[in-house]
Amino acid sequence: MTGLLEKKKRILDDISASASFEETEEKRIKYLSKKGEITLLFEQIKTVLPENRKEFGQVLNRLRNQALELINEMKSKYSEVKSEKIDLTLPGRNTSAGRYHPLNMIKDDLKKIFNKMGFSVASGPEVETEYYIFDALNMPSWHPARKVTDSLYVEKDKLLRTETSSVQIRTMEKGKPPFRIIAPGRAYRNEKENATHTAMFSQCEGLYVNKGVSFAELKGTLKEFFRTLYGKDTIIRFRPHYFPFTEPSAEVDVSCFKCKGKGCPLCKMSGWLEIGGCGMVHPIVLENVGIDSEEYTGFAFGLGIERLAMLKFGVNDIRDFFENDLRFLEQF
Amino acid sequence: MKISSNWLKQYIDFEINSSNIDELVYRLVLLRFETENVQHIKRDYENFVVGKVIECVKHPNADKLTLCKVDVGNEILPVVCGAPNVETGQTVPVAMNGAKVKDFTIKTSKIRGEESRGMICAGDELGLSDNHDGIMVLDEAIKIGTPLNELFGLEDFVIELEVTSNRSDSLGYLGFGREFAFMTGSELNYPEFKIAECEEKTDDFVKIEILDTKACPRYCARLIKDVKVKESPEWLKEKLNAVGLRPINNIVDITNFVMFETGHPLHAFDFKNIAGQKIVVRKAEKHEKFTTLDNKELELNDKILMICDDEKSIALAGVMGSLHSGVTDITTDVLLEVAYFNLAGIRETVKYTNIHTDSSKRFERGIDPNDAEFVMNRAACLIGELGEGKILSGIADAYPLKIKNKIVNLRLSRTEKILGFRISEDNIIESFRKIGLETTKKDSDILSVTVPTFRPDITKEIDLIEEAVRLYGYDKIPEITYSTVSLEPNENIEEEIIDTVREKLKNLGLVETLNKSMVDKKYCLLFEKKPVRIEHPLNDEMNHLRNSIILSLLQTADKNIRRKNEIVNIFEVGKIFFYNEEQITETNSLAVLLTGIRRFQSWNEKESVYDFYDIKGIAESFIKSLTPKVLSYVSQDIPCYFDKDQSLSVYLDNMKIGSFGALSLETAGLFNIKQRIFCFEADISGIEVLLQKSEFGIKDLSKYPKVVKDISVLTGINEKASTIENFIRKTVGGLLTDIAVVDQYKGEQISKDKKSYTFRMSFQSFDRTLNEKEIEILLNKIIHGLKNDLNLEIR
Ligand SMILES: [Zn+2]
Repeated sequence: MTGLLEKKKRILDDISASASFEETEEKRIKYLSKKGEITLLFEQIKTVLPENRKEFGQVLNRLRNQALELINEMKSKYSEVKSEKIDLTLPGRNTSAGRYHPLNMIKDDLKKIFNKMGFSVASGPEVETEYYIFDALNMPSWHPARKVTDSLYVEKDKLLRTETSSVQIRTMEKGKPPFRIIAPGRAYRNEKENATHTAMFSQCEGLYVNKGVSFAELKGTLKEFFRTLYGKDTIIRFRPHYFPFTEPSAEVDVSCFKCKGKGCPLCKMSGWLEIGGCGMVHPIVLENVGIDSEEYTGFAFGLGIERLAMLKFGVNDIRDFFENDLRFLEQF
Repeated sequence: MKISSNWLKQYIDFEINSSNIDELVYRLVLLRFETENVQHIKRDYENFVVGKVIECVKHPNADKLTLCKVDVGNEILPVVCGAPNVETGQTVPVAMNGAKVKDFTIKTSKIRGEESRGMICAGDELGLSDNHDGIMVLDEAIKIGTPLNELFGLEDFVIELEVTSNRSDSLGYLGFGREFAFMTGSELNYPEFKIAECEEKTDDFVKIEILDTKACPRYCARLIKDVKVKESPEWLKEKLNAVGLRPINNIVDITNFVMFETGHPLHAFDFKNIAGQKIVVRKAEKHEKFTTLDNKELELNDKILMICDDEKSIALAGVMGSLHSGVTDITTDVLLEVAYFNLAGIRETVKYTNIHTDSSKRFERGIDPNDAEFVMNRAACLIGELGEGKILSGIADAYPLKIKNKIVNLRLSRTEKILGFRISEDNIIESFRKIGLETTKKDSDILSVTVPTFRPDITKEIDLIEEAVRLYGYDKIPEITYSTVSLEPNENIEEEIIDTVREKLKNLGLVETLNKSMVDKKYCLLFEKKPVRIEHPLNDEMNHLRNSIILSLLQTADKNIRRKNEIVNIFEVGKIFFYNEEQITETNSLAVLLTGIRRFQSWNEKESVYDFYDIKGIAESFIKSLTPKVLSYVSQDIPCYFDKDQSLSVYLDNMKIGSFGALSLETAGLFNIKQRIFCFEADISGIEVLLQKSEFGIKDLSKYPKVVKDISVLTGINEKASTIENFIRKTVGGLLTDIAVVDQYKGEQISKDKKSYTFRMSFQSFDRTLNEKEIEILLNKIIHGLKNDLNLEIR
């Protein structure tokens, strides 16, 4: 035991005598590494008399802890880094994070959710011919949307698309069913702008054509989508409507996510939010792209991205999205 | 289309009231009738009665007042009256104690010392007219003591419906009533009337000649003689007022009333103004002139259908009559027109003349050709009744080819396939029957449906399927989700690249903007691509499509600068439009714009502004995040809107990826911006090539230590850092793992035409630790080369 105590003194003195960070590290290896002197002493416990073993162990443990403490102390003494008191109340250094535009945030959300539901993303040109915007979509020649002055024409028979529905035709024309796509994009109308209308706006078109696609599945699909977007207790409502390119057609309302259907200013006290239109792809539209409408059926829907964004972020004036005031954009 | 509950009551025995109106409106929505607005009109005359003035004496203390005694049935009231026209013997409306006249409640009071226990009312005080010149005098026949509510009380709900553009039948009370009766489970009753014809025959007075039977399949006329044109009775005026029409005279009012009742427009001509006792239906001639009844001169084209007499045109068919053909106060003989015009022809007229009327609105959607007799007789009967006219017998009816009901087959199996659930056969048959579609069973699957001519919107099986589910109830459609059938995902590479680009730019601290595609032409001209013009722009701010994203960012920068947003660090990825060899082309493009303050002053930093090296840093980091390839940055092919002295283009081999730098002062000036603007632009197609050719491999990392050395070189003021850097790379070869300019010095310690660059170089080997000796040899080689080959001085 006395030998052990002598050894202890020698080892601690030796560590204290280290003259640099590196030398202290060498001492650590010398005494505390796997083959270090102190480590090896532990193996001698077996050779000590049983009645002394407990005490021997305690002294050895103490030695190891003291040595480690001393080594850390010496290291911090020789360390180049010094801890100092600073003013913690000064502001942190600037780093700018960058931001996405709120409309694109919604668009990204839609893509993510619909991707999980098996929809791919499709796109098409924004300058289109009347065929893709009107004729192929069964839009009768007298339909109000066809008034030349209501659309932005750039040439005879060429105009900025009034709906993203034209992507439906482009997609179906290119391949064979089944198709399951969404097409988020810009659409245009020659319209005076106000708090709820802009001449340029964004839509998200959806299309699913396959054998056995039905109106009830359309309702189920949209419900699934809105439950992911607004929460599990969301319900949806179909209202009959007329669109030339779908039949039967419906307008879609979603139960207000703010008041859960009880009525609040957001939903104008109705408990419902108007969110888009949908329906079964009209057989004429399918035939127009050479799909046998007896064999295949399909549904289509269109959601207004600005509308979704206004609801989600509480924006009251649609024009704010295209003003691009940085004070506005930096809030998202 | 306005539906007044009082009017609707005539045909349907169903009470609309305050307690069921909300539910009805909701159920109408489910039946495809959106409600724009519900107006609750209530006129309640509690404590008002009919009285008789039995005595009038001048008020002793006031010149303009009269002391009256008014018999109200069970008592005689003293009333002080201020009206100039009050006289003994008049039957008048009396407001008694407790009655509310406007905001004022009647009670017994003293007026200039005389007791008054009521008030004799003027028309405006009852809300029945605007008249305040004197008290309202009622028909003597009305019994004294009658509560005024029995005469004028009213409760009405006016529901303003939005009827979808494919439905014509619901633009009349009877057509709407069919749906309403179905919805409420009540019966629809057609108005009953008996027509009293005189001996003279219409056919003897009018000949009809249709020159274009395609545009006008049917034309009916009937003559009514010796008519008294006068004001319509209250009940008729009330109905027209409720649907927003201004009463004119009994004849015009009846045609409007019957149009709203049946959905079928009619027209009344003054027979005296019809030359030659003849109606001719023909297309207009090119440049033919026509003056409308509201005195507008039109020049027509040859597609427009006209109603004419033997000499002249008297109406734009289905749209509007001419200035002098209509019914006036002195009209005695009326020729009634009930016709059926082809939808397309009417649309042509409306489109060309831009005249929209209640009549054209109905014809445009298509009305029932086969209810013409009913409509005619209904109107004639009313004219006989209210105008005391003589109805000539028979209808002059030109209907060469009768339009028949359609037969459309409906397969129950197909219905279930489209809907995804089953509606029972009985349910379909029964609900179809209630809205006038008769069905017969063809076989176990097929129903043969007779579609009456009042539903021109139904032509195909799919229309019947929609009808079936609409009547079944959209609220009852089940929600089915199939465990997603997995389809081959459709790759959309461009869309994915756009999203990658957006993410990288955002991660560089930039703010994404979305700008309009439409811009002002004056801005387009600055950019190189030939812009696309918009034909009918709403304003000059959107007369062209943008041919550059920088253009959009400049507009946004200008707006933000004016709003004192001092840090402008924005980007957009989007479409640009231009002519490429006369073809309109649209491509996706990206641009970044920096201007103004980079960092505000803070406790540890001075304020700094953006400069060239910021945009270069963005471009470099952006490209480095996309590809491990080293791209070249050269002063070559710089677009004209950049400042050539402060801009570079980025090349991958021989392909230009993009350009960046300061914009020229002229460019900024055009957008009214006084500060320096730095931009980076690239086409997504170039980025796509960059990504295709780049695969990020994980580089092996050397286990051996890195040695870092600095070297300072004195060069001419115009020497480029990249020349020296490239020289050092070539000289050292593979052992040089990194080189960067860490200092630039111009100033007192060196001559004016010189500058000093300090390069920091990292040396490292993959197979050994480099020793001092090796490093020294390398450094000497560099120094030697710089001195001898590049003629540079080492500091
Ligand atoms: Zn709400």
